[in-house]
Amino acid sequence: MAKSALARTDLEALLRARKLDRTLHQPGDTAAPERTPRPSDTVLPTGLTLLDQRLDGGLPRGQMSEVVGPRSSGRATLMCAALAAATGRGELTALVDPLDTFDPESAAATGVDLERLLWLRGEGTTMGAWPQREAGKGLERLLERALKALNLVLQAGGFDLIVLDVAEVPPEAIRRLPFTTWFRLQRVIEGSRTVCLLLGPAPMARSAEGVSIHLAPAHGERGRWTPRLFLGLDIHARIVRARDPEEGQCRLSARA
Amino acid sequence: MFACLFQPSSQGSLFEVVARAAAVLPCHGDGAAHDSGVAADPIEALAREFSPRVQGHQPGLVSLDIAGLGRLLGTPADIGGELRRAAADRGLRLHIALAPTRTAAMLLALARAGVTVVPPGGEREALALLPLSVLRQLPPRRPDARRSKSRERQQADTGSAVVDLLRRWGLRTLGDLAGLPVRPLSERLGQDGVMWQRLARGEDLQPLIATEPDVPIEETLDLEWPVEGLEPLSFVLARMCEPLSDRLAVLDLAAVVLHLSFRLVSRETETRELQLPAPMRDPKVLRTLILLHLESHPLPGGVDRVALRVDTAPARVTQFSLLSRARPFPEQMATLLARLSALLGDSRVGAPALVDSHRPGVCAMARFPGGSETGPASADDPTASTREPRVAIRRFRVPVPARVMVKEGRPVRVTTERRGLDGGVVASAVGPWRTSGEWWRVEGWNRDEWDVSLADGGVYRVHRDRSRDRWFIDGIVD
Repeated sequence: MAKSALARTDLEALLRARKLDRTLHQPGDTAAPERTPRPSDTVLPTGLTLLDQRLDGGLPRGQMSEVVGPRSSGRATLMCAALAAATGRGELTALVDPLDTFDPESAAATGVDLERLLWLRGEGTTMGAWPQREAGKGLERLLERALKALNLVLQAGGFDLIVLDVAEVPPEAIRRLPFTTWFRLQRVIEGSRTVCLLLGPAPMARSAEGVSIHLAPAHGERGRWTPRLFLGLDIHARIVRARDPEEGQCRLSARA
Repeated sequence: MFACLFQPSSQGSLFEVVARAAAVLPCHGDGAAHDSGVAADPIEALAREFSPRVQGHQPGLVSLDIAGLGRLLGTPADIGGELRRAAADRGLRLHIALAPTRTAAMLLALARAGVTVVPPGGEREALALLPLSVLRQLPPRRPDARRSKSRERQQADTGSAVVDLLRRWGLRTLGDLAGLPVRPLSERLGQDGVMWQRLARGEDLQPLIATEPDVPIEETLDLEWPVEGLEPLSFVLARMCEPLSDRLAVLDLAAVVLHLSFRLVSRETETRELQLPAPMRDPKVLRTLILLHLESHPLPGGVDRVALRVDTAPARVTQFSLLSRARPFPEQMATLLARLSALLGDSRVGAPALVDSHRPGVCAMARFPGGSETGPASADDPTASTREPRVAIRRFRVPVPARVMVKEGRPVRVTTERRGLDGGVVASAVGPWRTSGEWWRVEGWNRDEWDVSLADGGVYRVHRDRSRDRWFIDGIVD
């Protein structure tokens, strides 16, 4: 008994050293762990006030988080908001964009300081070919290069926010990636100030302390429309964390 | 105490002087003179043998600081004699002057042949009998690289005009000018007149600005047998980068451009040029950058000779600010960008940049990180986080062709061949917004844009190319 208690103490100490002690949960304790506000230097605010409140300040640093949702659910909007907030604070950011769909013009309109954004472009749509149409090998090669680039940027350090945008990659192609890929990437950023944010159509991976933000159109409607204008998107965000049965939810709006 | 060496033009042009001195100086083969630190100007090279503080004013005119040289060579007269002997050994007949001020030494060297030595306090007396015209031969007052040629010419013209004016006043010697009362001179000629009078008195207007010899830093390695592939070449490059980096460290310089020259087994020479994002001299970083460049731009064959030359700049002084956010070291960033370029391609790594054009979707790549060292862009905007964000668009770099059914001038159904873009019935559509531009060029555009919401759940931006009457999907509102 004493031996197991000692082992548990050691384990808890190890988790604390890796800043993972927030995931500790007493056996038999069904209640949600008491949420303490995070220190401001351990989170990266997304720039969206409501979302940051639900996230206890922002995306946890040193962790891998993800933003998932269907097409036109506001994934790129949330990404641009986070990039704008980070670059606005003078932080360096990177975007791994295997399908080359990033639009600098709309990002600049969102407030992204483009000089502080490292854009790594794949050959996705520049070649005039939509990846789904290509043979599986081509898409695999595209993803492989993107993950290598992501790994290089994560290992280099010095970046506060690094985004891998595979939101338009078919979920089955992402599922074919070995899970150790994500595990390895998690280990690279553990304990650092970097936030690795994955954008995808479906949940892929997140680290133990990371968050999943599930986006969906609010009330099932695709945007706000008038007969003459497209006004913007209404987004419903649901926040999922490890060992936290209480999901945070909020509604966001983005104007066209 | 200063000395000035002057090569009168009667001995021929500078090229002749250089050629004569090169014949006298020991020669060790190609580039040996550069490697041993010998300056191209033989008079400057001679001066550097006596003092490290040397300033070259113009071809054939050099000043050197000889303070402290007396302990080695003796009195100023002895130093002058040594300078004359050393010049004679090189076949140079120089005017040599030693004086307490640099200006006095320079004026005396310009005016008198042989060796002239002026004791401390005697410079005004020594200059008194020199003709006024010697002032015309003085080099521009601040002969640094940043000074424009036009300003130098302007100053020379002014000097010439002042000397002509003084001669019309009846002045003939520097002593005449030095003896004029300052105030009336200033009232008539302004500060320029006062400046010329101070020069005539032998006063220094600025200190000696020591210049460093322009020594090219290069390494060449002839291989006994050709090497092919990056791995053997990395050892060769390490062997070259390390001594080169040591020499840069001794001179407190850093590399900004690497010039690589590979002699191939086919006897052809392949040259490469690497622009470094910041001055650096870490041999490992330099080798890594060269290897990454060669990885993305391979050599066409085996190599039997490698030459590496660097353009230098003052070494970077890293002074971190307590107020701004720390950035990665330029060496690390350069290595990262080189690795990413090797992986993705040169044109696919960088910072996005906007293009001054109304063409939809056009963008460019710029160097990362950008040059702006300004503070946070929106830190002082308290409303930034409370504002409603703008929607972002995913843009297809090459618009996707689509078939659009139009009813009463509005799209009602969008379909496409592309898998992943299902298309469907249009639920909502707003538009058209007509844009056109560059009609005088082949790649001009003329289009009607629509924002449409389709049954597949997506919001798309589509357009009709009016010149071809075809529809395309531009991107996805996300």
